[in-house]
Amino acid sequence: MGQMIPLKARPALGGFDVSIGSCRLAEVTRFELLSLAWPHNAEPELRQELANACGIVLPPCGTVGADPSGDVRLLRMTVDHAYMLFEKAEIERADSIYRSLAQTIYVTELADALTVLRLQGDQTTDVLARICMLDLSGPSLAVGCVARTRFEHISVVVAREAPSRFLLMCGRSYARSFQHDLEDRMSSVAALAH
Amino acid sequence: MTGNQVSRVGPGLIDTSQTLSFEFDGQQFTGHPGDTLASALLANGVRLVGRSFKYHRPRGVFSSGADEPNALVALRTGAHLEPNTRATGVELYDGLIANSQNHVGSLRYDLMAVNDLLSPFLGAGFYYKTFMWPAAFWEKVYEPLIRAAAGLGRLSGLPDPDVYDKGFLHCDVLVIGAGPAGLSAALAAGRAGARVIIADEDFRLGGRLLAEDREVDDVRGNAWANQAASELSSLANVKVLSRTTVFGAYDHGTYGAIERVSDHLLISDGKPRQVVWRIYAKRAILCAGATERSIAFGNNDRPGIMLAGSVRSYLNRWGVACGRRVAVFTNNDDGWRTAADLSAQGVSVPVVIDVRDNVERDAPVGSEVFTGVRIVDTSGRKALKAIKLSNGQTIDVDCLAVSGGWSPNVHLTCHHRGRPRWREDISAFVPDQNNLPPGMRVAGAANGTMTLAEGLRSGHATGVQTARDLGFTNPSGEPARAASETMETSPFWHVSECKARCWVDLQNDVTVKDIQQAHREGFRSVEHAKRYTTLGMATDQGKTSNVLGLAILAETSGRTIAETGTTIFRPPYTPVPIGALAGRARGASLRPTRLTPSHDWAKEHGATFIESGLWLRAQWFARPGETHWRESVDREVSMTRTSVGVCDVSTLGKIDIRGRDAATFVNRVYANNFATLKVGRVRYGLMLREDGIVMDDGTTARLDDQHFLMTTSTAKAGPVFRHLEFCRQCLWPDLDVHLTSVTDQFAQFAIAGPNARDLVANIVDPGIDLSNDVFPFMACGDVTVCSGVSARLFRISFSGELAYELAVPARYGDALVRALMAVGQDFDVVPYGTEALNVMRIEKGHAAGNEINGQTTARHLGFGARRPKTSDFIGTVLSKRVGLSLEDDIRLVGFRPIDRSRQLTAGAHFIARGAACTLENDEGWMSSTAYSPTLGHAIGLGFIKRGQQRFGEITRAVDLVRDTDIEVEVVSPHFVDPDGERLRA
Repeated sequence: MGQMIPLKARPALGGFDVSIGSCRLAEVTRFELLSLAWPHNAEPELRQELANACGIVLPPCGTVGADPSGDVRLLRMTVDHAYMLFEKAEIERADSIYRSLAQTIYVTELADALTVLRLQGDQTTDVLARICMLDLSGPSLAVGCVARTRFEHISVVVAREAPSRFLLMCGRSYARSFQHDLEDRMSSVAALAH
Repeated sequence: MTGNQVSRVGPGLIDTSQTLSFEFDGQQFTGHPGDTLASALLANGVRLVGRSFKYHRPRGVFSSGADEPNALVALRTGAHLEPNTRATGVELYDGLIANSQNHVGSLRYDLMAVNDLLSPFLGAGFYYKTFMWPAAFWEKVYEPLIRAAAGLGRLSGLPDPDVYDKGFLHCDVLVIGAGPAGLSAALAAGRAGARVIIADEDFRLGGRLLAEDREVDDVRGNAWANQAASELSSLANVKVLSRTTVFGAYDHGTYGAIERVSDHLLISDGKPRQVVWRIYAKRAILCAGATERSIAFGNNDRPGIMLAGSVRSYLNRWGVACGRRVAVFTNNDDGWRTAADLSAQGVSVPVVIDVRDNVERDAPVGSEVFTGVRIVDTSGRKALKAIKLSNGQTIDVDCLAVSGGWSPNVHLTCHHRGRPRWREDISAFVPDQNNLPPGMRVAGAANGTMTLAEGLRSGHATGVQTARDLGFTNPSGEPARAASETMETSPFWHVSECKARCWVDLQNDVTVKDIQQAHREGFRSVEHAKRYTTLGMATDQGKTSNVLGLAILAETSGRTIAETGTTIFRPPYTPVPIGALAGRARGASLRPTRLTPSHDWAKEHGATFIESGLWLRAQWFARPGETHWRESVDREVSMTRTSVGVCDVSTLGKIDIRGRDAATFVNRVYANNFATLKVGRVRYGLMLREDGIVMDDGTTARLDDQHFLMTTSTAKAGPVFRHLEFCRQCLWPDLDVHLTSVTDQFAQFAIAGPNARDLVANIVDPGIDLSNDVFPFMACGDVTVCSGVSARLFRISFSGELAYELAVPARYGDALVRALMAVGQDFDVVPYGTEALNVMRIEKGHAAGNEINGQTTARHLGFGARRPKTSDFIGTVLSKRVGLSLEDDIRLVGFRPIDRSRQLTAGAHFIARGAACTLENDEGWMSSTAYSPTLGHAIGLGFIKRGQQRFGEITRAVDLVRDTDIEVEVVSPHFVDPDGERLRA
């Protein structure tokens, strides 16, 4: 009987996409996310494996590396941990890369653990300044950087894709509160722009 | 000039081309953009604006800034009402409504003014002495009366409808204050290339430059300030925050600032009212200026008696003459400047009184000058009419400008416990350069540099040096220039020959006599005297009165001011609304809410939710006709135990543990043995703290040799993960282990009851064998469900029934619960919530948060009899302490009431029959209770001494809080299926 009721996947925010003022906040609904952790002294093997599997150079901590397509990205969080994010057509490669990397390092699927939102627009930094304690103009969050922080009480991974475009990841169970918090700030900034 | 602005004598710096209407105490007035409420009231000839705190004496505007002690008003109405707002800081807008406060009856005829007649009985500390008898009256009569009379304004009592934001800013250099020194510092640092934030509480930058008729770089001071502000705004590396008060200096270079975003607007139009900024600054330059202080003399609190610098501000900035005939009373050169400016604009200055002897200054034309003379009294009940001098003369005036010297605004330098030092030459406290908050410099008047020319120079030099320290070396230009001036002052605090009361702290009605009395009564420390007299408390924090008060205390005690010392300041510099500190974190947004994967489905099906940490969990699912939660819960338990129930258990913490040393790691963090756990099996684990107390429990599955999945309780998911990371990173960094929180990755459902296997069999894909032989109790494995969706299946049970927990990627959680309920219709499947879950675990005798409460050990929970683990684990050593190994220690057992109709309560304590309810007779406590629909009566779990040896014994469960005393029988904690036959079925 099981096969008679197929399960339909549901994004945490149902594909939420809203523009307020000059900013747009949209849920990334199609992505895959792997958590990569590697054993002591295994970084050389990992570098080799990354090059073979997807053509990514392991970036320094706090920065983002990408494959030639730009849609497979490696968000290096710490010395022994990174997230690998797949978007668009590259999602299809996630499974094979998973299997390839899993022979060398510890790989955990996390696409369901985290909700990914993209915030963009002229006043994005004004919006984030109202919730993100990181220095948005400083080197730690320049374009191509990634950091773990918290927005209010929510743990967030924030990556800067462009001067006015950020990728935000939070725990799936927090997604609605996170969306609400960001919309509040977007509304404030939009009102102030009047 | 429009309307009745009878005291408007010039355009000042306001925009007279527009007229604004506003209301004060129900009366309509007009003002102009650029006015404050105080300047507009003065322009309209309003002198009486409030009543004093204790004696309800008539009071008028005293100053022109944040130091205002008198002109406190209730701003706006209804839910937007904000009491105790300084009229001197309120930017006027069209439609503003303000009301005076702290009076019974009208402002002019305040019935509470009778207090002034009773003043001989209401001196310093009167409430410590006056209401001693009869003692019974204190709580019932005196205290309520005093509390009703205390305070100034009244809150609306309604929820605050305004929106407040919080935010974070970062800079190299934070410049606090945008007067001449602050603007100079910001220009220098900004030009050098540093990222600068300059903040000022005023809505217009310039500080004292706006109040003075002085030239800077050959243009009028306010014009130079405009130029400077324009240049700063044009620099990409500079952020200008007007209407922003930096209210606190905190650790590690962080500063608190409040920006009043829409306080000056009638309708906010979606804008937040205020924003509290946390500013991270590598360096800070405090350029907060100085505050003028008064001189205490007889009846020096009448409306019309004002600070001389403020009188000058109203004249030059707002074009307002604070009186038609203005006398000046001073001990310094600055007071003379007020006289000169007033005279220059045609305001009569009949007399200038300088307490100093032999002062030679140019007096305004038509002014009589008295040196070495003091004012001893004034007259005029609701407005000043005349002053009486020590030489016996009485002079009719309607305004008196008083200058007792200037006190640097050192407040923020004290926020790290820095104590300012006394400088005799300027008779003021200045910051101690050796004890400033790290990274802070002070420039301008805040540092005791009291002249404009020096202020400009010091601001510039400090800006250059600060930028240079940070590596910014672009040219900073030359400092702005101003003509030199004299700024001599002679310390003079109060007129001793007065018979009338001489007011020191206008806000708290503290007089010279109060301070002298405090000293006589033994309050020698300035800190004690402050608290006894209330000097320097409330909204103004003694900005105009502190130095005056402690100088009088020093004089009374025969010590110098330096010996007497000073109180120091704590944040905030000026009041900050609680709403602003809360920001968006209020109501439902107080903290984030975590939603389970089945939340929407549960909501659709009538779930009542309960907060469980941050989670919102379904507590029960009421069906039509069920009027009490117990009906729903009893049904859910009964149907689960007779057929099958489904519960979302996704909230349990889930930690993925991988690595070559994963098995070693898990074995070390649990008190029981995990080294022998086989792949594909699950084991219950008990985790101890270092001190041997139980930290948490849960099950851990071994997915492969180097891969474990640990579950934790919902409440302890975060602490356990943190604990494991501590163990991994700090205790055993040599182990190759990696932890990943996967709590949110999986939607996990418990499927429990005799028909659980049949229901699960209809969800998993064909070919998966769920038989007891292949998938026994405590088995786990990967499966697929509903046509190929990857899932994990665990044969574990919290309810005591045959049960499984099925986990799928969270994106399928909503669909899976719908599928389970659809497929389960054939079995009368029931969703059950946390309440039924709790009932069933109590029936089964499983410990939960009530039992693992930070007080109990493995032995207490009944694990002491197990074969001791030989290898080391967290808690090994301290769990062997004598006190944790007593044979007569408490044990977790079950309880049932002798009278089966009685309810049990958690928190009751066990007392032997016939024994008194004393601590000595306390044998333990009831930790969890429930009504068991399976047994038909109440049951409980609890800890009692030697519990395992006392089955069948009758004792009492005494709950003094709820006033119950129930006889209970000690029984096994396993009320249902004690042999585990159901869960192994």
